[in-house]
Amino acid sequence: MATPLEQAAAFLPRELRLAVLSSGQDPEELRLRAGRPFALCGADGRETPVLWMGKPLELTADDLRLTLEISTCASYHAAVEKLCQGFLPLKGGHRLGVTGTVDLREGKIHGYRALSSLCLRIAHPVQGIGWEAAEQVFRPEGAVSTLLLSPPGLGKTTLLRELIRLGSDRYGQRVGLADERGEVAALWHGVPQFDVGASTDVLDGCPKAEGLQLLLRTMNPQLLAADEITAPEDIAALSAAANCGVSVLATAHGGSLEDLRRRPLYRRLLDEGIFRQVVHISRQGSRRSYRVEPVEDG
Amino acid sequence: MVKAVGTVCVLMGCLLPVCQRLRLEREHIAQLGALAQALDGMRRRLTICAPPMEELLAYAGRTSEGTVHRFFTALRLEELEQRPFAALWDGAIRSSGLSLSREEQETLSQVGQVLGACGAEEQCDSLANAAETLRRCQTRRREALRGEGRLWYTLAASAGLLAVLILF
Repeated sequence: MATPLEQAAAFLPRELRLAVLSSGQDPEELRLRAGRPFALCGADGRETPVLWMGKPLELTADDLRLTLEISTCASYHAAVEKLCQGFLPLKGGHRLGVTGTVDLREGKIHGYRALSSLCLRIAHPVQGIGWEAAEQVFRPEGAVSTLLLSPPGLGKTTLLRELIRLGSDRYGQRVGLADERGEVAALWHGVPQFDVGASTDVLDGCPKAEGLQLLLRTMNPQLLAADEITAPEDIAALSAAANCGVSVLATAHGGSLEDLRRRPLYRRLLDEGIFRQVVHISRQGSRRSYRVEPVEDG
Repeated sequence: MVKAVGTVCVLMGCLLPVCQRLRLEREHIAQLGALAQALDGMRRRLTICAPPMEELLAYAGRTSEGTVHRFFTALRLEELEQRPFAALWDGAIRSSGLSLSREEQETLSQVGQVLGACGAEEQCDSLANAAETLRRCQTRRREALRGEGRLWYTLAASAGLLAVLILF
């Protein structure tokens, strides 16, 4: 079976693919910039140039175009909507981010006139985390509505995905996932590229508020999940779901419950009493730890 | 009797290359029409559901015949990692046996520069322009064939008769 790096490298032109595979590194991202050397980005965020025949590989705009062409299978028109939203989901759960000169029409990004940078983010599926958190979320009497809370970059989405998988496969829950940006399940041709469990129904690309209601109406879920609650409509949809007796699982950016209470949007979220508990994620070195805190009413 | 057979043979010998040349030209004209029709079909498909290129090419292949069908099925998207789509498209024009004039080849080649690399709107425009140009070429060739066909038959028959007179 191909490694995540081999899978991701398959979206590169031949020469770049060979160079990255012979680098002997296991990067998190591949960085392609027109007129700049091809670089790998490790877990520490540092970029190192990829050497080919002992020299850095200077990239041209054509290299970027060919990479995009391979990634979209020469179907830019079918991928442009996703690209304009930020990134293109690829087979294997990998993601291609694009920057360049945008084609702006009536104030909306319509596409790209020219490419300047590509970021190929390599998916490294993480399993086996969050077991302790899962025991707190999935109790014998049913799933407890839980908010996953941490500052950006600590792995909220990874924990959410893992809790969904465990809820579905281990705790027998029928899960409805509103995956607006395709980051949790990474659907590709309808198939989740990340393991989100056998009993999980994924709605991809749909705004969370509509998505949650749609899932509630059509898929009869026992647990509804959504990533990054950011809008009042999301809260209204979560509240409606909670009132229907469905448990909800969601993530939010924040340092603590007090921090959330200071922000009007999240204060409303807590005041509505949707969530019974919060899972705080913290990191010491490369190890993440999870702390569950009950949410008190009011 | 021998002279009569000889006369027929000489006349046939003069007319046959003309017939063959005109048959090839008629095939070429039909091929231009089929190609324009296939490009129009792709444009309609793009307008309706903007399918990925693989599906679009498969559709064009399914709905065409002969060399045009060979052209669309010769495009292998698996080779994208080695060559851009435009180069694959040009390669398919050469390898599929399409017989095209320089202008027609350039028209078709330009579609390859836009297909798969631009938004659906631009691709539709390019396909429509190419189909229109190919149809114009087809009409021009058809009209030329009508005039030239008569001329070639007359010349061939005259040459045959002249040869018969000289020989017999």
